[in-house]
Amino acid sequence: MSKNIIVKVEDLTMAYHDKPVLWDNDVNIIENSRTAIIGPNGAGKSTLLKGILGLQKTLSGTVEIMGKSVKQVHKKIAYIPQSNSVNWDFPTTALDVVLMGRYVHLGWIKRPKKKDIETARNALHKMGMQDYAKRQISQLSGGQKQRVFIARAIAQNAEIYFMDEPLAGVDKNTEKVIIDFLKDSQKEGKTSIVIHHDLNTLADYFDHLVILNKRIIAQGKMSETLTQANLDAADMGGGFKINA
Amino acid sequence: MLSVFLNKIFSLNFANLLNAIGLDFEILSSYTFIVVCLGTMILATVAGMVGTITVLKGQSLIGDAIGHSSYPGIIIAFMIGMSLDSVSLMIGAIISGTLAFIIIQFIDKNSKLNLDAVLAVILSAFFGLGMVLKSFIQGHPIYGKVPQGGLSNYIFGQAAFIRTIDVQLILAVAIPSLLILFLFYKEFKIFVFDEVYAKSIGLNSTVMYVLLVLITMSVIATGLKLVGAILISSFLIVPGITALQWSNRFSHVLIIAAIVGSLSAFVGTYISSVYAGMSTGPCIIVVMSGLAFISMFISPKGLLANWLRRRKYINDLSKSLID
Amino acid sequence: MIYQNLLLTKISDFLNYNQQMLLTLIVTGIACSILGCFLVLNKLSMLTDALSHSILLGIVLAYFVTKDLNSPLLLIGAGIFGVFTVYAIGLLSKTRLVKNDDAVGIIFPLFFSLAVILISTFARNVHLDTDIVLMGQVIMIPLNNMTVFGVELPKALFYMLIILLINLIFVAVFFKELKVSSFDPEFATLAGFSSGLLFYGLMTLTSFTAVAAFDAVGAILVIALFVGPAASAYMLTKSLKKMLLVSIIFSILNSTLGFYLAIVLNVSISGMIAVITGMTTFMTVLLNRQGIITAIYLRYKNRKEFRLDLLIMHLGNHEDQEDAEFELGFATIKDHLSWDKETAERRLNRLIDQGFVQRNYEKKIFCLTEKGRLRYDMIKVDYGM
Repeated sequence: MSKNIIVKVEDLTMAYHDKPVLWDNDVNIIENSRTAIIGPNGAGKSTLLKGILGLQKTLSGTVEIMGKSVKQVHKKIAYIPQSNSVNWDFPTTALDVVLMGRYVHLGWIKRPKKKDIETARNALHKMGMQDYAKRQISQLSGGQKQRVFIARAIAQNAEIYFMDEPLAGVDKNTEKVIIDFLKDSQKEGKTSIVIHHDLNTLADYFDHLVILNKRIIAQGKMSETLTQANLDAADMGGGFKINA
Repeated sequence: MLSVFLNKIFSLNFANLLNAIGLDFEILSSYTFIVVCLGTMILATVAGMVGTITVLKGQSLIGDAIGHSSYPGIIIAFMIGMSLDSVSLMIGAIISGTLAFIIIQFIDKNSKLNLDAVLAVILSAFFGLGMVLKSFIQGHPIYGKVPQGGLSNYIFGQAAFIRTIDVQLILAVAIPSLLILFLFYKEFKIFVFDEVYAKSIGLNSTVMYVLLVLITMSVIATGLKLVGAILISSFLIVPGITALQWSNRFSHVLIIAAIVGSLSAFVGTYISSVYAGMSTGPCIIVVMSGLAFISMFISPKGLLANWLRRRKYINDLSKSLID
Repeated sequence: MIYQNLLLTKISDFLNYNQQMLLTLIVTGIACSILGCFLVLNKLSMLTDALSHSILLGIVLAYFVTKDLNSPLLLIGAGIFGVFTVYAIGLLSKTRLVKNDDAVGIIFPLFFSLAVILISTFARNVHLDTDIVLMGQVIMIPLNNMTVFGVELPKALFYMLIILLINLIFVAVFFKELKVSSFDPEFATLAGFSSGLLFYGLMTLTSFTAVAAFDAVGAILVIALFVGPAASAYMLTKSLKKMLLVSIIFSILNSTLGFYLAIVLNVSISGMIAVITGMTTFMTVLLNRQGIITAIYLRYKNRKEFRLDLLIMHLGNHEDQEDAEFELGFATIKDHLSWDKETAERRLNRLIDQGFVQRNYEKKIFCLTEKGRLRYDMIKVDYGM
C-alpha cells in the first residue's frame, strides 16, 4: 500500500460559538486506506469532518486534500452526512436522490443527461436498491435510506468518501453491504474516512484509525493504534477490553 | 341519432358552449374580468410554485408574518412619494417585509425564544406600526390632502379594482421569478432536500437563501394589492400543500401547485364577478382551501386511500387467521 | 336625579375617559399575558394569530343566530368557535398529511375569508369596518357603559374584569398541572394529568379571552398582548411564578407607554401598543443577561482568550517534536496556524509580555516558559483533555 497522504490536516482548531470543540489537531489520512474515526460523545468527530470539508468555520489551521484546498476538489470528494440533515418530507424518489450525486459534475443551471441517469441507476444497483428506484425516499426503511445515500456517493464518482456514522441505526444486511462497498472501493484505489461507534467491529471493518477526544489521541495503522492505553487516554476504555 | 347530436354540437358557438356548462359568457368576455382574472391567475401560479419551497422548508408561518409585516412599508412609501403609485408602494412593501424577515432570523438565532413567539410579536408590531402610520396620515394637514383611499385596499386586497398596469407589474415580477426557479431548479431541489450535502458539493447556500427571499418578497409585495396583507400567505402555501398530496416528485409538485393556484384564481374570480359584493381574494382562498381539503381526502396518499388500505389489511389479516 | 345619583356609583366620577380606557387596556393586557405565558412555554404562540383571525367568522355565524350585534351570546358563540378552530387545526395535523404549521396556515385564512364573504353578501346592512376588525375601537370603550351592582362602568372593562378573574382562578387552581405539562408533557401524562384536557381548558380560556379582547382592541393587538409580555418574561426569569409576575409588569408598562404615546401623537392606540410591545420584546432580546449583547461581548472576550490558549497549546504540543523548527519557527509559525503575520505577532507578543512564551534564539523558535508549561497543563485540564 502506498504511503501517500491524501488528506492533510494541520493545527486545526474549531469552536462552536464560544465553546472550543477541536484543539490544534494534525491529522493525516493515508491514500487508499479505510480509516475510522472514533471518540467519545462530544469528542468533535462530526466537527472534524465538517472542518475538513469546509462546512464549518475553523479558527486556525489548514486542510489539504490531494494537495489542494477543498474548494478545488469538490468533484473528488463525496460526503454522506448524518441522516438528520435531510428534509424527509421532500417529494423525491430514490433514483432522484442518487441523481443528485451527479449535480457536482454538471455545474450551475445544466440538467442531468441520459448518461447521468444511467450512472445513477448503476449506483442504485450496486447497493441492491434497483427495485426501489421509484419509491419516495421517506417510505424507505433506515437501512434502505442509508443505501440510497451511499449510492448517491457512488454516482458522484469520487475518490474520497467521508461518512458520518453510516452504520447508525441500519440493519445487519445493510451494514454488510456498506462494508463490502468500502472494501471494494479500496480495491479500486479509493479512500474512505468513516466515523464509527462500534469498537467490536472496528478492527474488522477498517485498517487505519484516528482516535479523537477534542484533540488527536492517536492515529495510524489499526494494529498499532487500537491499544488499551490509547482507548483509556480517550476515555473510551471503560467496559471494553482489547483481546490480545 | 348521431348526426343530430353532432349537428347540435357544431351549431353551438363558443358562447353557447360556455353557457351550456354554466359559465356566463358576458362576464367572461368583459374587459374588467379578463384583467382581474389574468392578474390573479398569474399571481397564484407563481405564488404557488415559490410557496411550495416555503412549505417544504417548513416556513409556512413565516410567510404569514412577512405578509402582515409588509403593510407599514406601503404607508411609508406613500408618505415619501405622496402618491399611490403601485411600483413605489410595492418597493416599500418589499423593504419592510425584508426588514421583518431579517429581524425574525436575528432574534431566532440569538435568543432562546421559539420561532412562533418571535413571529407573533414581529407580525403584530409591524402591522401595528402600519396602523399607527395610517392613523397619523389620516388627520395630517399635509398627507391628509392627498387621496389615500387606496391604502386600505392593501390590507384585504381589492382585486376588482386592478388595472392593466397592475397586471404588467405582476408579469414583471412573475417572469423573472419563474425564470430563476426554472434555471436554478436543480440547485433549489438539492438545497431544500439536503442543505448540508448541498454545501459539501460546493453550492453556496447564502446565494440560495438570498434568491429565495428575493422572489418570495416580490411575490408577496405584488400580491398585496390583489389579496391583501392578511391573506397573501394562503396564496403561497395552500397550492403547495395541495400539490404535495398528489405527487412524490418535486417537478410534478411544482407544476400541480401552479395549476391548482391558477385554477383557484380563475374560479374564485369568476364567482366574485357573478355575485356582487363578494371580494375576489377571499373567494379565491375559499376555492383553494376547498381543493386542498378534497385532495387530502381523495388523493393516493389521502385519508380515503389510507382507510381503504387499512380495511384491506384487516380483512386480509382476519381471513388468514380464519384459514 | 339626586336620588339616582345616591344609588349609582359612576366610574366616570373617579376616572376620566382616558383613565377608563387605560384601565380597560391594562386589565385586558393582564388577562392575556397570564395565559400567554403558558402559550409561549408550550410553543403555541401562533395559535393566537389563528384564533384572533378566526374569531371573526365565529362572530358572524353567531350573529346569524342571534341577529343582535349587542347580544352577549355573540361573544359566547365566537368563543366556542375559537375552540373549534384549535380543534380543527389539531385534527388536521393529526392526519399527518400536513405539518402543524401548515395546518395553522391553511385553516385561519380560510375562516377569515369565509367571514369576509359572509359579511359582504349576507349582512351588508351590518357595517363592517376593516379598521375596526383589526384595530378595535379603544376610543369607544368609555362610551359604552353598563350598570352592575349599582356601579356604572364601561362594558368592555366589566367583561375583561370577569375574564381576568376566571383566568386567575384557572391558573391558581391548576398551577401545578400547568407547570408540569408546560415543562415536560410526557411526564405530565405519566403522572396522570390529562394534558389533553388541560390543553383544551387553556385553549378555551384563550379563545374567550381573545374574543373579549378582540371586541375592545382588535385582532392585531390581541396577538401582541398574548405573546409579547410573556416572551419578554420568558427571557428574563427562571421560575414560572416570576415569569407570570414579570409578564404582568411588562404588560402594564407596554399598555401605559403605548397609550399615552398614541394620545400625544393622536394615532391608533392599539397599533401603538403593539409597536411598543414589539420594541420592549426586542430590547429584552438585546439586553437580557443571556442576551445578544452579552453573548457578543462574551464571545469576543472568549475568542480572544481562547486564541491565546490555542497558541500555548500549539507551542506545548510541538515543542519537543522533531517538527518544532517548522511548526514553531519565527517565520513559519503563522503559516501553521493560518493566521496572518501581524495577528500572529500580536498574539505572540501578548503571551511574551504575560511571561508565558519566550523566544529561543538558538533554534529560532518560540517556546513556552516555565509559567507557560504550567498554563499548558492547566488548559488541558480545563477543557477536559
